[in-house]
Amino acid sequence: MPIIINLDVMLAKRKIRSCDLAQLIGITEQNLSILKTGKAKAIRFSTLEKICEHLQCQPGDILEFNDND
Amino acid sequence: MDNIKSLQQFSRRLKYLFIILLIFAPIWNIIFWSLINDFSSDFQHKVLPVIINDDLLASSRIMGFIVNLIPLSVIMYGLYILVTLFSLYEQGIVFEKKNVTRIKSLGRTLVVLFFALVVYTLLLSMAISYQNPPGQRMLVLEIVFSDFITLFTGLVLLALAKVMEKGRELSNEFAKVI
Repeated sequence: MPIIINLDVMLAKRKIRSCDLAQLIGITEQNLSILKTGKAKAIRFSTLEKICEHLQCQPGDILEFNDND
Repeated sequence: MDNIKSLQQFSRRLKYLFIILLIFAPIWNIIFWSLINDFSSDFQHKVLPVIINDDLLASSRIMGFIVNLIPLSVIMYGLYILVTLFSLYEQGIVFEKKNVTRIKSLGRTLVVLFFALVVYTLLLSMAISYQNPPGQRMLVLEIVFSDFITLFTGLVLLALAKVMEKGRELSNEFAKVI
């Protein structure tokens, strides 16, 4: 999939654990894991908004387009 | 949770009912062909494709028993699928791929049963009238309304299985929207 999720990078930069972020944004750890591993089919704007709010970053810091085909 | 529990209880009861039918079906087949000469002529006319005036010989009854195994084996397979399907419901597994597979199998079984019943009637008429003198032996090809109901039900189940499969895929897709 050309859209790459760099959530792990931002979590490391902000020194926040996955379980803590999941709790802060109101989703399950399993769903956050689906997001981190790139298995998600779509992300809601509300979820993206909360992630950016708690990680103090821009959507572009988390989502990257890389079309190698 | 109450919904799941009541479904599980209901499924358990149906599972045992199908197990009983699965065991009883071949036993009834043996009893039927052993005692067919003792049944009333009205009953015989209803269940047999040809009218018999004399008692059936042992050879005819054995042939009838063997021919009856054709639809019986299909019915027993269908009952076995129902037992496994309701075992899944009993465990609370309702919309998984396993359920869809079993419903598809059940649909295919009913479609096969339609053809099995046609062949059965044909062969049974030969088996029963075989003991008659030449010139009085019969070949009956019969398709009744209930056979079409069986076929229709099978096709409906296949369509339902397809819908369930697509619904499951959509649900899995939706589960991946974070």
